[in-house]
Amino acid sequence: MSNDADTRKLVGRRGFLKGAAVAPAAMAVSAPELADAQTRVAVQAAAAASAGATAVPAPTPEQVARETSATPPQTPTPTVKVPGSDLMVEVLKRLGVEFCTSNPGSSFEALQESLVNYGDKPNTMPEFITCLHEETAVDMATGYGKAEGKPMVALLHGTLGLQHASMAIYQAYYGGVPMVIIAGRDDGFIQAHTANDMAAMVRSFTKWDAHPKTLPEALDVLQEAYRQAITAPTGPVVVILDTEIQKAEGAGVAIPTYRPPVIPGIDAATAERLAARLLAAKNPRLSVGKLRTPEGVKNAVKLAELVGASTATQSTSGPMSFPNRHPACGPGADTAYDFTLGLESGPADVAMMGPTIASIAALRDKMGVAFGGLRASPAPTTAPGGGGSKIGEKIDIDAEASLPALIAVVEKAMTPARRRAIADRVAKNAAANQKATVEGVHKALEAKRVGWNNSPVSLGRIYAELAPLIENEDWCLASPTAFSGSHHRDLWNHDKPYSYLGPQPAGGIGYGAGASAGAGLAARERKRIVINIQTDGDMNFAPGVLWTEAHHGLPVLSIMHNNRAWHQELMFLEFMAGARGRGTDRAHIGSTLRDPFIDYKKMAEAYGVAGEGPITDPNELAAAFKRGIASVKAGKPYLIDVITQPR
Amino acid sequence: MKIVIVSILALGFAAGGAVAAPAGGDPVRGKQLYYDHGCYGCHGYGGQTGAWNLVGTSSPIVNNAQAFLFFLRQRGGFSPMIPSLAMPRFSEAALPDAQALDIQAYIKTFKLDAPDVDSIPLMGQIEASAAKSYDPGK
Repeated sequence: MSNDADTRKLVGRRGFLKGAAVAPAAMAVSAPELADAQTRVAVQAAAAASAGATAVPAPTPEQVARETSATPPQTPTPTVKVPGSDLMVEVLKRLGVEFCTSNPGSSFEALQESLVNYGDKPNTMPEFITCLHEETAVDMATGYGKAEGKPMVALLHGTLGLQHASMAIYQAYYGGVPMVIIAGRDDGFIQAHTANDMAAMVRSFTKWDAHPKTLPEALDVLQEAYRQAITAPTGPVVVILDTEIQKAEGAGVAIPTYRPPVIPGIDAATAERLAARLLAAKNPRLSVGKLRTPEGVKNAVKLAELVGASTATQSTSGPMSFPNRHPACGPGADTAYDFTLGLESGPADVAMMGPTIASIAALRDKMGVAFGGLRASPAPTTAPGGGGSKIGEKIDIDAEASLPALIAVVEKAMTPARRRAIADRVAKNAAANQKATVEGVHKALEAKRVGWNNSPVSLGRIYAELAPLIENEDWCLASPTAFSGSHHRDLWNHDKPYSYLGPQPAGGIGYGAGASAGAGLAARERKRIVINIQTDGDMNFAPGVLWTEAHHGLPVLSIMHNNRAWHQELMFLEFMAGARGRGTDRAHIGSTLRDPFIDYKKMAEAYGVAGEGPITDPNELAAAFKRGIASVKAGKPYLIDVITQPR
Repeated sequence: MKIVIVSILALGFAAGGAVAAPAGGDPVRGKQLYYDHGCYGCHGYGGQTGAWNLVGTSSPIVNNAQAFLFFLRQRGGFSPMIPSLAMPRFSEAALPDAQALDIQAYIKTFKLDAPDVDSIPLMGQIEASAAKSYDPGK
């Protein structure tokens, strides 16, 4: 007995888990098929257990030696010429997947090895991005997907990684953000880390999932996953990849030719009808909501310019909408519009609105969870995330996919007389819209001057100080801004599809830091910078993202909105206490971050990110912001801790 | 909205009959109470950011002791089923008159910090930028 105990101590935790994990799986196959000594031991253990014995057989001397490194590990015999996981990576390369965010796990070491070693330029397309938490991995994919309108990969470890990531996946689903989630599955190693139907854990809040059983099927599935992610309704999809398939022989297995999805747009007759109405209108208008990709935004601008329409935009509320200071954007010279066309938005006489996640929610929610906000709506003309009321005719079709056909008909129907009339309208609208912009900015500044020199710093001043510093930069505001007053809306020029990435899709806190880092991935490759107005409560869910930013050189400027609280909850609690007549002087309990205050500069430094602060004097902001922008332009993330007014 | 509030206040005074004018509070004690009771949460540390501007207003709620107390006691005396960002009710048990008036005294020490837009060069820059022609190539 004492010998057994001593031996078990030598085996250690890792060896014990490995042996124990193999046992149930091993029972399902015949003994002669099990080659290695450790598995034989596990079978013996399982047999002993089933016979009512309680003792665990001792490991063999070879096992003990291997676990304690007393002798070199056995050299593995090469078993495959072309690893299956190499082919998986090749599929991702050909799809143009730039990044794979991940926290390492024991269910995908084969795929990870291929990612970092396979190809002429290993660890590119996709590049392995090391994350310190799976929630960060998926939040980063969300930030990237919002900024670029296309998927990257989040690679997660079996049951555990999926569960760590589940809140972020839930938010991506609500936001209809395209991404491909790959979860490794190893049924022979640690049983607690695997499952028969792995994707079931997140099925009710992912768009699509698959669990291929062979290598050729896996290659097809990866392509189909990409298609599913980018086809309206866009959203996160899941592929479960067994380790056996990752390690399977790939020699002789062909990579299938990728077929892009065919996303239906309006038919020719509808295009003719809508073009005729736009061209016949004396004062047409476009109501532009959230489109899928930058190409959609480009075509929306083209259509507005072609027909001389004034436009309404959602670009200050989220990505992929009409540039807010384009000459066509604004109320126009005359607000009596005689025809309004909606592109994923209302109000409109006619609106093209593609399917949203809400349209498939019931189908995917087989457990009947019925997530609020995704339940069947009694008002079919309501557009999630955008203006939805007062739509005369709703056409259930993806607006972005419809724009090329509509533009083609408009161009064909253009005449010199029409061009002259449109040019005149365009000029009048441009003058009126610029006047409205200038007046709007002045009105906003009048409001923001109140508390201008306050200490702690007013949030309006933070956005105002940033405005001229980023004016000539290619920037992306990646963090949600509702809690900090959204002052960018009336002060900044949202001229790119990615200018502002919008709120937490399902209102979940902990998203902003990860999403900003994900936007940083896109920005690093494109020489742009990311602005992250980072609330303190959000930062503390997974601050390890700062290390990821430092390690991968992500150009993210994080400016702390440090009000030392989960402030909205503080206010809720105050109201509740007041309503019950019990006073508000204890409402800080559980809703504030004090005693002690958190030092975010030190936090950043600990993770390798340069920073400064805490700043309490607003007159110090501009110099600090200049240093921060210079740093991120040099490829180094930067954090500035600013002690702010609560709101 | 102001008309409604003033009307409510008038009714309240009428219903309460003759009320002795409360004595003035202590702004030093009021500063700590302003923080402890979370007034800064909606009104900012200087009373001029967030939900409601306490500075530079002629509202009797801020300037009159009886109106201030009446407002604290009567408002929001209900419990909504969804979380509310509205101003809480302050019962006398939770915030006695004397403490409330300390807070009011502190509020009255706030100085309006709102320089003219024209006096802030940064604001001029922002306005000039907004007036620029759109450059799609930028």
